[in-house]
Amino acid sequence: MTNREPCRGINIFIKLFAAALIASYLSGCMTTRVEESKNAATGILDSESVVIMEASYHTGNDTEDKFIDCVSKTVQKGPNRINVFPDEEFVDALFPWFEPRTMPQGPDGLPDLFARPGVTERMKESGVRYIVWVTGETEQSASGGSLSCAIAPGGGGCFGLAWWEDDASYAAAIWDVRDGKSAGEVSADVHGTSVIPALIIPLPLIARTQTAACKGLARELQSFLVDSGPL
Amino acid sequence: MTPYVNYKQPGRSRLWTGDRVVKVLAIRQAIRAAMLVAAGLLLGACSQSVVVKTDFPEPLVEPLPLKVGLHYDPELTDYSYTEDLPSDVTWSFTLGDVNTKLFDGAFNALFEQTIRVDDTGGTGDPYDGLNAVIEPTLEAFEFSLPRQSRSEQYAVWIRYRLNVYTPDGTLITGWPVSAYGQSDSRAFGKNDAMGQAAINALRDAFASIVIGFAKEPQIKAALIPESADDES
Repeated sequence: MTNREPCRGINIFIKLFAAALIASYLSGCMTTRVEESKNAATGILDSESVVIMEASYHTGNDTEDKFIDCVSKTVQKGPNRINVFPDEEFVDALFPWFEPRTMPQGPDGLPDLFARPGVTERMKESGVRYIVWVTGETEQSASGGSLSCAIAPGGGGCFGLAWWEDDASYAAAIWDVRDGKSAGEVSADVHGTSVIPALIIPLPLIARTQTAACKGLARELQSFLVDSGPL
Repeated sequence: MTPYVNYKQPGRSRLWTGDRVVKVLAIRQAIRAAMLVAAGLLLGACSQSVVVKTDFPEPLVEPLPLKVGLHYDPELTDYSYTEDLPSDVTWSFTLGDVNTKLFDGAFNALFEQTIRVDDTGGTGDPYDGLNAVIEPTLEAFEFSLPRQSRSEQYAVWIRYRLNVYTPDGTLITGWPVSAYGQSDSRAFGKNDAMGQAAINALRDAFASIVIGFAKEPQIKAALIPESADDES
């Protein structure tokens, strides 16, 4: 054995490992559908903002906190960026009228809400023009296959194939606080299949459905609010 | 008896007999077994302790034109709850301080004036100048884990009872206030998620009290002037 052969073996191992790492960042297969339904003309000034909140869990809604954070951060980026008023600060400023038990269930509840002492003033101070209510969640719809891994004194590895399907389905209802009515709705549905084949080394191909739904919903929301054109 | 030479202890020139080796091995096994038992006991004794702390925002409500005495029993101000779940750790909650904050905040916003009193009623100062005396109690506390509800949520239920008395101590009504809070386990660690669920339940109780107090029929009939009707 020459001195070059161990180096060649190490180089091959490094290349295989790098290929495995790159593969792990590849997305699985996904299909995305984004829709909007507009009831009224929109448009938002630079001095105005939106507040993005999950609908009440008293209605059975179970939207993930991190999805709301993702949408809030994403709408603040890009050419159509929108100012976002932090939802926790908004709920505290209008306490107790936006708690899960007390939050208005529809835009019809806005006139009664504004009739409460101090609510109109607080709303004006916050600069919030639109309230965005997010419903939906990401669920695993199917799974299958099997993956086995073992470690022995001489080494270890995995063998098999595991897969699963995720459905990320979200909708955002937009209320115009200034006009006291519903401006419309946007929705994002993403279906993705993730696969982990393994022959010694597992190569995860993960479909990031929730992230795709977040970005899709956020971009559609920006377009919905910034575009003040005809319905 | 067969003599053994202990080659692992080169400094020892002493010969180890078979009986001595057996005794040493038996002692080592006993020590290992004792350590395993101790480890099991320690694991079984693990517990989750949740000390609930929060501040409540000032509510946007119109105060009622009433002067009310507040009586807090030590059972409320020192409240703690412990439950040993089967196949899980022991959960304990400390709520005493936050109960006091909750009711001070709610009643200070709900009434024009509040004072602390030592009893649920009486004669003379300070009871003569009061419209009512309120004594909140915590009747029930429950919680659930994600594996129990088969969801991603930690949840807390709390039931308070607000005993409302006339200044001389006659009970007007005992108004039950049920509160619920949940928190996403995916957003927090185990202990933080349960704490957040408890905070959400307390905020729910606060909101229910400030919004619903004046609407409770017996309280409304006994205390609320007609001019404040349906405005809270």
